[in-house]
This record gives sequence, structure tokens and C-alpha cells, in this order.
Amino acid sequence: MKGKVIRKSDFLIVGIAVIAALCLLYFQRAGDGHRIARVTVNSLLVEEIDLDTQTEKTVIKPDTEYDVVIVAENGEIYFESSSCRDKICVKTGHLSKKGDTAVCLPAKTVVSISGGEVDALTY
Amino acid sequence: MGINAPRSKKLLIALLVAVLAAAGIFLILTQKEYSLDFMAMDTYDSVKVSGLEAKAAAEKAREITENLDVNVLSRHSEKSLIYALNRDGKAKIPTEYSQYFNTMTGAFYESGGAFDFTLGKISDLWGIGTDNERVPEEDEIKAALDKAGADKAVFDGGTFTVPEGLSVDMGAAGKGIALDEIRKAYGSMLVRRAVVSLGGSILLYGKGDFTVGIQTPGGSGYMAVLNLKQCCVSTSGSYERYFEKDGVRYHHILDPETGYPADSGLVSVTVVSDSGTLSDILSTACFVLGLENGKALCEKFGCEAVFIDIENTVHVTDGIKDKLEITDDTYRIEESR
Amino acid sequence: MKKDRNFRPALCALLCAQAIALNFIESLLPEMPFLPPGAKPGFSNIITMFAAGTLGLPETLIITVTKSLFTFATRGFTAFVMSISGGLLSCLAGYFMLRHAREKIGYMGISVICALCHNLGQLCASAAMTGSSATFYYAPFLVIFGVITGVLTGVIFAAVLPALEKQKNIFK
Repeated sequence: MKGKVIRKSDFLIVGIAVIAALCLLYFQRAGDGHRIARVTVNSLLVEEIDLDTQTEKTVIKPDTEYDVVIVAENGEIYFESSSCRDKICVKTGHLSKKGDTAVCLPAKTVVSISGGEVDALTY
Repeated sequence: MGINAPRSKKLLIALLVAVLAAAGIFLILTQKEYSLDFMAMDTYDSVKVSGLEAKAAAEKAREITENLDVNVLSRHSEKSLIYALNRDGKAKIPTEYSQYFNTMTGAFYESGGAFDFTLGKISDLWGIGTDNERVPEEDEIKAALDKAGADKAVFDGGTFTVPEGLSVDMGAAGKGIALDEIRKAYGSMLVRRAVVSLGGSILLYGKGDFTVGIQTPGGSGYMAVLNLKQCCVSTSGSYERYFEKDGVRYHHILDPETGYPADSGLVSVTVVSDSGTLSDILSTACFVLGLENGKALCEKFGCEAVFIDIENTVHVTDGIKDKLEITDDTYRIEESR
Repeated sequence: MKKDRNFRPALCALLCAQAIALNFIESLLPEMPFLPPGAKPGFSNIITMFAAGTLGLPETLIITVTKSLFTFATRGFTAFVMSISGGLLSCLAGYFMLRHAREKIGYMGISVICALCHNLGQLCASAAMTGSSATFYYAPFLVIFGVITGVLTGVIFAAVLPALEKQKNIFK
């Protein structure tokens, strides 16, 4: 099979790729200090919202056995309703600070705002 | 191009790049972090591990917790040791778990009965967390209370015996026991650093510094941060499980003396200890005992604690005073006298 | 000359087996931080590149699809979708480059592009499956990872190329 291991253009390809990655990273950073709310179902990320830049109300209905409704509005995110029995998720209230977390155990749904600087939360 | 000299030079560069890439991958592998969350012991659990065996270690934590829950400690799982104990009145305790039963019995006596693991029947009356939440009648509670009491349980090293009419409930110690078992397991695994949270009871494992947030009672974020080295942290609070009736809140931490939710002027207690079991047990005991006696109990066991009272004043034991930072100014630290 | 016609299916089958073996060994690797679970170096790409360079498009496609079917049988539907989406995009890109751009790009560059295409295919598939673009969060890390593994795979490819040629000649 003909061909060389490495040519000039290879370095170009690698260079472009690295620059592209850095650009992606930069734009993804969303600026220092933005509160990014993440909704995960069964540990899988299903939705991500930048609470500091969103303008209109967003309603999220994750695909779970329980009718969970999550609302992100005015820079806050919260469980609006859920058909689970204890509704601790709803009782947790509005999340607005980094690290704030609300969990619906039966629906295996977790809503949390990233950037919380602690390793763990005790409660 | 393509003749021997320049060709081998190109190959050399290529090899160098490959070696660097391999080194990079190796570095990533040793730093590698693995997280997983799961449901066990009736609560939300999560593990985050760094190290060469990160994934195996994370799964081990889940395995240990689920096993302890279903096969040993749960009051409701038919396969569990405690279930058999409550049903038959006696059970043989495997030697690897006897230290925990010793600790629990010791804590019962040292706390003057504030920590009592035989209140299952009274918890059932209140039904918190089930569809039967209600305020039981006074005489119902008294009847059940008469039959309860960890002083009625006998542990002679191998066998645990309890009388009829009481039900052993490991709710206040189970998570702590799991944390201790997990820490034991990690001792022989390639784990550099790990943070395990079982319903808010935390194991911090590995070298370096950790930060643990104390959840705002009744809220979603944290109101203070503890700067700690590896240890275990547990919290008991009146805001975790409760129901409200006629404007009164009934929470899940029962006072063994009255059979009613403990009313000691506290809203939460966080205990820091090397032992997960102790941190779990003592957080419950201190909540029942209140500030003064709680502090004394912690001193007896060589543990540190943070007490938050109903007026949002925060009291800290001396050992961790300089490790606590309040981040929410609706809470004030009590000035030491 | 009669042997010439028969060697292609036989060699193809052998290459499929080798690609599957490489995939299997890879699946034993642990998870990496900042990368989605399941991200792997893609060593079986060595086989794909060889097939694209010396056999032809049909064989390359067969090897790619067979790899993915094996993944389907052992790791389930989701893993299969991840494998085939990345695999097809990657092998088509590799084939195109090896057929038309061999004068301009070395194996390292081709390998990097194959790795990047593989990741791109997987990202798109996963976004389609979860219905959300949240997985593109992994993109920058996957690009760097793709470059590193592409370089690594490219070098290994160059190193084993003589052996692969020898293997092919056994059948001839």
C-alpha cells in the first residue's frame, strides 16, 4: 500500500483540529459565572439551560413514568409538578444558586445548577 | 522524499508523537474520574471516584450499599438479617458486622437512650414516608413505647436477641455503616480520591482537601461550607422527611422518651467523624438531645459537630470552628463565651 | 490466477475478525473524565483503513457493518447505533481520502480525520436519540481525544502495515 506516514498537511490537520476544539471550548464556557442548570434522567443529561441568558420560560417534561414538569423562568428552575407520592422535588422549591439541587427519586430525575464549588452536600 | 534518511527521521518524529500521546492517555487514565448515582437505602446516592480503578470502585460502592440494604439492614426486605431478627426475635450476626452492633449498643447507653434503634413499631405508627401518615393516638404510642427500648436488646457477641413487640430499625445508622464498609473496601483498591454520598451522609476518602456544603435547612442550596480532610459527615434534620397536619409539622426523628418527633430547639445537626457509623448515629442522637447535651456527647466520642437551632444560629464544636465558613448570611455563628 | 478471485472474501472475513477482536479489547478500557461513557481509541480503524486502501469500498463497508453488528449482539441497541453512526461516517471519509488524497495526506492525518468523523457521527446519533443537543457539550474534549487517538492509531497503522500486507499475500 502506497503512502507516507506523515506529511506536511498532517500537521495542518492536527493544528486546525486543536484550534477548533479550543474555539468550541471557549464558546461553551458561556462566560465565567453563568449558572448552567442541568436536568438528568437516570444519570443521562437530557437538558441544559443557561439561567443567566435565557429569556423566555422553558418547560421541560422528561420522559419518565411520573408526569414531571420542570420550569425554568426568570433565572430560576424548579419542579413545578410531579405525580410522585411525596413530591419532595416540588417541595424543594426554586433553585437559583450554583450547586442548588432538587431530586425526584421515583422519577430518577435530578435538576441541579452547576458550578457549586463543594465536593458534596450533606443533608 | 521517501528515501531512507528523511524517511527514518519522519518515522522518529511519528514515534515521538505516539509516545507523547500514549503518555497523555496514561495521565488521563490515572486522573480519571468516574461518577455514578443510584437509589438504595430509600434515598438518592451518588459516588465520584478518581483513580486507576475508578469505575470498579464506584460500582463497588453501589454493590456494598445495595447488598447491605437488601440483605442485612433493611427492615422491610424479606431477605435481610434485620427482617429475620424482627420476625424471629433473634438472629446470628456475622462477625464482620458485630463491631457495628457494638457501636450502636454503646451509643445507646452513652447517649442516655437518645439514640435508640428499636423504635420501628413507633415509626410505623406515624407512617412517615408511606401512604399512612397520621398522628397516632397517645395510648397507641405509649403501648408501643413500653415494648421498645434498646436496653431490652441483648447482644452477646454472636447472637442478637430482642423481645416481641419491638422492631429494630437501622434507619439512623445504616448509611453510616455502608460508608464504613465502602471505606474498608477502598483500602485495597487503586483509589486516589472518592466522595460517596448516601442520602446526604458523606464519605470523604483520599489525600487532599475536601469541601462539604451543609444544606440550607428546608432549602435547596447550602448555607455553610466545611473544609475537611478525609472523614465522614452525616446530618440529621427536621426538614428531610415530614408531614404537616393542622399547621403542625411532624418530622421523622423520634424522641425515644416520648415517641413523638424530637423537639429540642434544633433544626439540624451535622456530625464529623472518622467513623461513618458514629457520624450517622450521633447526628440523630444530638438532634434528640439538643445543643448542650449533644455537644457533650460528641466530646465523649471525640467527634465534631455543627448545630443549627430554630433561630438560625449556628453552634460549632471547637475542633472544627476554623473549618466552617457560613455562606448564607441569614445564619449567624454563636459567639463563644 | 484462480486463487485471485477467492482471496477477497477470505481476507475480508479475517479482517472482520481482527476488527472485532480489537473492538473487544478496547471495550475493556475504563471510562475517561470529560468524555461520554463509551468513548474509545478506535484501534479497529487500522483494519478499516487497510481495507479502504487495498481492497475497496465493498470490503470496507462489510468490515464496518460487521463490527457494528458484533457490538449490537454484545452490547445492545444503543451501543450499536453509536458504533454504526460513527463507523460509517469514518470509513467513508477514510475511503475517500485513501483513494484520492493519498498524495497529499499522510496516514497520521487520515487517521485523525477518521477518528474525528467517528466522533462526529456518534455525537449526531446521540443527539438524535436523546432529542437534545446537550451531548455536544463533550465536543471539544472529543476533538482533542480524537486527535490524540488518531495520531496513535496512525502510527500503529504505519507500523503494522508490512504485517498486514504480508497477511494479505498469504491469501493470494
